[in-house]
Amino acid sequence: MIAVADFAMVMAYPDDATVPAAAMVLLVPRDATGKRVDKVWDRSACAPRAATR
Amino acid sequence: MEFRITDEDRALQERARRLAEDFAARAAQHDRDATDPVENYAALRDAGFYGSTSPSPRWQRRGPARLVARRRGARAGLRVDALSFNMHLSVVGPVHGESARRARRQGAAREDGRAQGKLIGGNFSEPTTSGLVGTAVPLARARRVDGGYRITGARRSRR
Repeated sequence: MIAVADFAMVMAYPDDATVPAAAMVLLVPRDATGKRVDKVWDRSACAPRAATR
Repeated sequence: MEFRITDEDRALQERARRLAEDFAARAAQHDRDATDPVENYAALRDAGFYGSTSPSPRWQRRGPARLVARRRGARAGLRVDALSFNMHLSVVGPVHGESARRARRQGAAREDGRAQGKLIGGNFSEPTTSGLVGTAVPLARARRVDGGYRITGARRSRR
């Protein structure tokens, strides 16, 4: 789903934050430069794919 | 809060059941091929499910009943996509709410509508933990750049 969604919601630590518990939520467009989805889960077997182990 | 199921809620259930029958016809193939059921997401959007957890005043009052109605409908066969679609439904509220708050803070006439009608893959899991209870410090980093943020890191998502 994350690969085909219009936006992926991502929680990240702001680089310029001054407190340890800071966090921000961003909506990343599907075609954002540098975004990549690696499919590493075998749904039928409900286990990591052998190739990724 | 209201928990009474209204005629409108029953209509919602019925729409969910009809979609579920259609989804079930392709579920095994999607599972076998590990493909995303994009046509199902489009059908959910066209049937008005994308905004069904939007925090409108009416939703806040009718929320519990609508949730029950939707889940009962889903039980009839939407199981295959219920988990992944909940990644969208669970974050529509916060996204919509933050958009409304920001518009109020900035005195804008209307909210930012860029996410309206869009499918959102909500994901708070870290590469090594589920993040369900809340992750103390996200491993991904966001650095402000011209026009937005540059994000560095990995997330883990189920489906």
